[in-house]
Amino acid sequence: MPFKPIDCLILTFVLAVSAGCGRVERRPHYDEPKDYGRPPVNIAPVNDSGDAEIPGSTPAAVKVDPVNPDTVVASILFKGTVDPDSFRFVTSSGDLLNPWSMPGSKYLRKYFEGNQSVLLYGRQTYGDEVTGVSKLFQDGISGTADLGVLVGGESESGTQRLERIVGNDEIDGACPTAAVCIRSMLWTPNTGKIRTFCYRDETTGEATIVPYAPAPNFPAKDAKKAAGSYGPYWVDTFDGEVNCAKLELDQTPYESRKIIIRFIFNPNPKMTYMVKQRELSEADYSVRVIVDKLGRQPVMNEQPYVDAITRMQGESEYFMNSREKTLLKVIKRTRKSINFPGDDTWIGSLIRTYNSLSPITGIMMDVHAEYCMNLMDDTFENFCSPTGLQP
Amino acid sequence: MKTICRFKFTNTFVTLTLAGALTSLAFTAGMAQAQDLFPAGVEAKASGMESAISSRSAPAALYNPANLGLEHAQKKAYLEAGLIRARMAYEHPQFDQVFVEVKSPVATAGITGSVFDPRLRAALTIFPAKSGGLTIDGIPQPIGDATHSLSVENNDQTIKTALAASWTLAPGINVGSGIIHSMESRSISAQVVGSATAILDQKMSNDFTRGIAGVRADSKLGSVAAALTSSVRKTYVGERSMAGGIPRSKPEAVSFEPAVFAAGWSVPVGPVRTEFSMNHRMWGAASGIMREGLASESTGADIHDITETGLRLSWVAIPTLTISGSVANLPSPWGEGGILNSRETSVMGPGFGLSNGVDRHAIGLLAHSSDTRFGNFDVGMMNVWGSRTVSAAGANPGHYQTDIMTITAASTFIF
Repeated sequence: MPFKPIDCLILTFVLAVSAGCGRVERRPHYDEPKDYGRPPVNIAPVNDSGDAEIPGSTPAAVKVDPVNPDTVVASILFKGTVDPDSFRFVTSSGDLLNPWSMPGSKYLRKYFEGNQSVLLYGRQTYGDEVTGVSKLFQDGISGTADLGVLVGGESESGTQRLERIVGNDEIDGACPTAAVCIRSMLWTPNTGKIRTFCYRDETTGEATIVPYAPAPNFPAKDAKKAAGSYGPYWVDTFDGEVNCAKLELDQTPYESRKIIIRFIFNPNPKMTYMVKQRELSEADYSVRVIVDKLGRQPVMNEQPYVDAITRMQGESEYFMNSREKTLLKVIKRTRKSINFPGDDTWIGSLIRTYNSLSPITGIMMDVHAEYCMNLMDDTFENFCSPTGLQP
Repeated sequence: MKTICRFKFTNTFVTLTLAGALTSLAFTAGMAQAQDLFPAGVEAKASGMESAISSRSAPAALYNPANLGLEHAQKKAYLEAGLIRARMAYEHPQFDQVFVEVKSPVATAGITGSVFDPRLRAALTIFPAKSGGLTIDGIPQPIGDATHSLSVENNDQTIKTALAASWTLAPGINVGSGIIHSMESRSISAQVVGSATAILDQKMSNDFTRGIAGVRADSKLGSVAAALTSSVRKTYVGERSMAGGIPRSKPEAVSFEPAVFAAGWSVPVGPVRTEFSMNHRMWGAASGIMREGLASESTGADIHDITETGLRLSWVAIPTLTISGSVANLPSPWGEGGILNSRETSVMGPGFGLSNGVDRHAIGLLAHSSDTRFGNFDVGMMNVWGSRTVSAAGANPGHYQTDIMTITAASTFIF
């Protein structure tokens, strides 16, 4: 039987399809979190002059229980030269809180790596497991206050100050667990006008809070709860400094934008073990926060420029010590444990975040912040350091 | 990290192939792709590489003109048409993966036949190696001391025309020579994502000519063939404008096509024929010639000679049908680039879109049937793939992957 061209075609096609599938891996080749090529920006030394601004970015999620000071904690690691004694929390009313005089301060310790870091540490608690609403931030800092004003980022262009807040029953809107939420943002450029950014619910038009960044010091199982889309929100931009919660009738924004904020949770399946060196276990995840200006498609690999996308990444590394050997072995054997079961099973973490900028402010900024939490008691060596891995 | 990638074609399929546009994604214009993404003709594709021993009919004018001596004296037309699917991925250590997939037609056309003397064969071949446009919304590229995500629009066209002839010195012994003319033109526009101002807008074009000569000897014991193709240094005319630089100036890019020594032998054993092909590409000569000309005005490339090898087995299934399978190893001539110990300035390294930026493996299949209603009819496929990681010290650090699949058919018929 003569061979026909169509036979050749069919034969070759079948062989081609079977031979040529899937040569290009779409999975990430690099395990390290992306920082988009932005070098960390050292945060200037704190000025202990009573200034209401604190250098640094969003501090670690903390909870202070005034009833039981032994569970207090705050753990913050700033890059740059910092005098730990000068560190202060600031409430929205401008009151300075000295962590060294707070309840539980006997557990606050100083940790120095050269003169570039300060670490305060103690116990960590998590968000509300039932409601998924975080009640952590600032609660203990001011005792009763649920909000604070902190520097969200500094750059060569200016300073971004956040009215930081957490969701609770007294606040309209819910702040998702493992997210840092803000009610407003104040942008103070080095040159030009000060501007305030207020947020309104798209439907009701009422002032609301918006998730701003992934919160550090959360295990993956809690951070995962923050995944999803939030909004739409109206972002009203005002000239000057205004109180978003109490706007005057004659205060009208010169610009309003509608945004949706998306939290994308990315568990990292890779775990590394350094048992011989430090009996150290790591588990990490990242949360990417993307702010989409409605009507605009995000662009691949887009640097977080004006009116574009903000990406914020958090990475957590969890540490264990010899007391957790048993658990460590279990984890190593099953290789499934980015979901640590609870606050008693891990004893420390280092979180690095890269808050590249806010598209809401329309200003590009570079902020690199690190947070370190160590829950070990005073009989254990502290693993936390600026690198997070070496003592 | 989840990868997000979009691409789109920006032009119509006026010419026969768009896949070559991929090769120009190497934003660095100086890398104007001296090596084609795929070879011309179904025989070469099915061999997984350009071959001095396997090439037949009109495409032989590009790889070994002496093979034209095997062609029939009557004038024959050669028409090849196929499809290519090219996938390339690049992940910079600090950026999401860039992934591009292009599906496009490919083609080669030509005529062969005897002229003036029965011992003289001639061929004219046209091979559109690149033609098309591509837009990438974000690709990381080093600019100055930092890496930025660039939105790149690119249009690229390369048409190769080969005119060659062979002379039969004695039965079974042929020599041949020819010229390969390339018409190249490309335009590229790039801007930092989020910025409204283009950091680069460049148009460049020129014509280049290379010489090729070959020899082939055939006997009952087997065949041997060899060919030598000359090198060419490529400079361009056109204009470029760069943000913060000279508004309009001549393109500074300098590219290069290396001299290639190709050889091969073929031995028949019963119905099975074994062919070995080898191409030695003298890329080392380009190390002091190539100039990227965009981010850097300095000359130099981290590139060296390589030798490609391939093995092909053909089986005569029935008198009118031959089936062959081949494997080939195609190493990359590129080092990593960057600051080399021997130089004080940064030199070029591999970039995204370079067809030979990674070490590749190739497999090919061919079904050749003769005396069909379409004359001699060939159907073939080629799959080329590879990956590499360029370290942080390299000129363009990151992880590169390539996968190219081609299915093609060709007909050779008397006219």
